[in-house]
Formats: sequence, structure tokens, C-alpha cells
Amino acid sequence: MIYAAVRAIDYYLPERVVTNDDLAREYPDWTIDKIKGKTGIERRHIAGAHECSSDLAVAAAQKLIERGVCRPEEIDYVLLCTQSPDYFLPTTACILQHKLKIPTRAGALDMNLGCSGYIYGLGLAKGLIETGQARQVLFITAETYSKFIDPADRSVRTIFGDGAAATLVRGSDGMAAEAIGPFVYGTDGSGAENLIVRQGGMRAHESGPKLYMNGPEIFNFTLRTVPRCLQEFLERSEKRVEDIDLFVFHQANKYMLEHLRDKVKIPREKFFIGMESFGNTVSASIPIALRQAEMQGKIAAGANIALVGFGVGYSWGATLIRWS
Amino acid sequence: MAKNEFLHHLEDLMNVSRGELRGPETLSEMSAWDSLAIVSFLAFADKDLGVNMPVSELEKCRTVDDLYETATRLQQQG
Repeated sequence: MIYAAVRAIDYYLPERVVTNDDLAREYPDWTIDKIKGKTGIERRHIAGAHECSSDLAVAAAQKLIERGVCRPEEIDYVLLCTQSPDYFLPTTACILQHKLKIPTRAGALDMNLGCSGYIYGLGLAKGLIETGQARQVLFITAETYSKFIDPADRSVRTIFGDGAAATLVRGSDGMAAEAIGPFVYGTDGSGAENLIVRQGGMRAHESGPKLYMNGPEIFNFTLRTVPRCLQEFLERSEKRVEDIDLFVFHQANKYMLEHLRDKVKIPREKFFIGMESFGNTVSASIPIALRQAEMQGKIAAGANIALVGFGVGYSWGATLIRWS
Repeated sequence: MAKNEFLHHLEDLMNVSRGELRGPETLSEMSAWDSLAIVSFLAFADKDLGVNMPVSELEKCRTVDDLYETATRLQQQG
């Protein structure tokens, strides 16, 4: 039996940085301390005017290639999760295949999900590998939400940052047990209106895409859904909180994460928060946090890591990975 | 929760001075009642009062007193 496993992760953040100091200058009634205290974010990276998701994705993938984790010619599937693609068409993953010099025999697919996207992408990668359709999946999550954000909308501008993460998911027939899974998924489209970019789509095609977020509704959705999702995940994986070495939730904002951690009673030392320097990077937030945790020595080989994603859709999911 | 204690929590999460809130204040007229404060209030209601306050209920609240009364009512309803 071939099992899929997360082999390595790397990430790229755009060079331009917007600090809390910059925001406090624009919004004088918001102090730097208040922004940091309520969001846990000190700065966020913002893509340049001509810098798109594919550019961030290529930079993240190049880091994996330069580290010797994989070679382009070995990749047989490119999976890109983004809600800010370069174009409506063609598929941005096709552009990535070309830019990264991945063989033309490789499959390439975009998937459109936000903060739960990393979980769903791992599910797809696992399915492709364990059914023999692919051996090495380059799974990239890349977002430039800043391009959707009205500069006057301080509440979302404070939270979101741009970034991309590249994950190599590789199949191996030498493993005793699965290294990704089980999965819990969930969807509630009744919340679609609460985090939405209407403009630019076919239903509302006036110019100038603009992100709308109903923060209180999103917060309540999270409070309702994440504890239930986590409970279901623990039951399905037949684990207890004590059996998990590290919990990595979607890095929404520190305040929300601390509240959730407290609510679901996860010890602080097992709960990774690492968004101070780049904010909420949507589907890239979990893999960026994983790479940070790895670099900080917080993940040992064989560690059981629980991943939980939740947000726009509404959509949520959880899975378990064994670090290799 | 007694009203005084409730007001103290609200003052903390709105980053205003102790004793500044009495109850009749109109929320929409207070710059401190911003998006960050609203989310902090929902977290406080969830953690300290055991109330998942629907946003539709929150939107009906005009004053600080309305917040207290709504939170207390929902808490009693369990």
C-alpha cells in the first residue's frame, strides 16, 4: 500500500511590509498596542502591484527545489489553492507548471477555498497518491487578498497578509501506517454572505473587487464550529488531546485563537501561534505555521500534528499528519 | 453577573477608563465600540457568560444597558 506523506514545506512572503505603526498613522484612533493586543499581528506582507499569486507560488516552490526537497521533473501533479488567481482563466496551476519547468505530463489543478483550503488540498493530494494517480504532488497555497481590500477598511486590512506556501506530498510504499488522515470536513453555505468578494464575478460584475467581512458573524461561526469539528476529529482519529503533539489551527487572529484554545482546553505549549510577522494568510497560514514550528524545533520526527482550518464559505476541516 | 462587573469587563475590552461606562451610553456614538471591541465582547459573552450571542441580537442593542440586558436574558434562557 502506498501512503501519502507531507515531506517538506516552505513559504514565501512578499517584500513590502505594512506595520502596525503604518496603520496607526492612517487610523489615529487605533493605537499600535490596540492593534497588536486584539489581533496578535505586528506586520503583514503585501504583494506589489504587479505581483500575483503565481509569483508568490513560484517563489515558495523554488525554495523547496533549492533545498533539494524535490526536482521539477519528478513532480507529476500541481495543485494550487487560491481565491486570488492571476486570471479567471487559464488555470493558474497551468502557469505554475510552465514557470517551474514541471514536465508537461503532470496534472495541474486550481482549487478555490480559503482558510480551510490546506486541509482540503491535503485530502485531494492523498487521494491522488493513494489511488496511484500521482506520486509527488506539489501542493501550493497562495493568496493576495490585499488586492481585494479597500484601503479604508481598517478591520480587514489589519488582519490579512499575502503569502504562499509550497508543500511536497510524496507517496511511499515503505510506511507502516497512513501519514495523513483521517479527515473531517464541513460546509455551511448559509454563511456565504459573511465573507465575500462580490465584484468581478459573474453575478455582480462592477469593477473593483472588494472584500467584505462580517467579523462578528465569522467569530460566532468559529465559536460554534471549531470545538465541534475538533471533537469529531478526535473521535474519528481515536486520539485524545494528550496524544497530539502539536495543534496548528488556521492562523486567523491571535485573539480568536487564544479564545478557541481556552475553550477546547488545549495546553498552551501544544498550540502553535505564529502570525505576528505576517498576519492571516488564508490557506497559506497553516503550512507557514508548520514550517515556522519546524524551524523553531517544535516538531520532532514522527510527531502527531492536528491541523484545523475554518472560514470563508463557511467551510471547515481537520486532519492529522505524522511528521516525517 | 452583576451590572458593575459587566461594565468593568466592557470598559476593559473597549480600552476605556474604569468608571467611564454607566449604562445609558449609545454604542454607535462611542468610537471605542469598534469592530475589535465587538469581537472582544462576543468572546467575553462566550467565555464569562456562557452565551453565544447571535449577531442579530447584538445589532438590536442601542445602548450599553441593552447589551447587559440582552446578555443576561440569553444567559437565563440557557
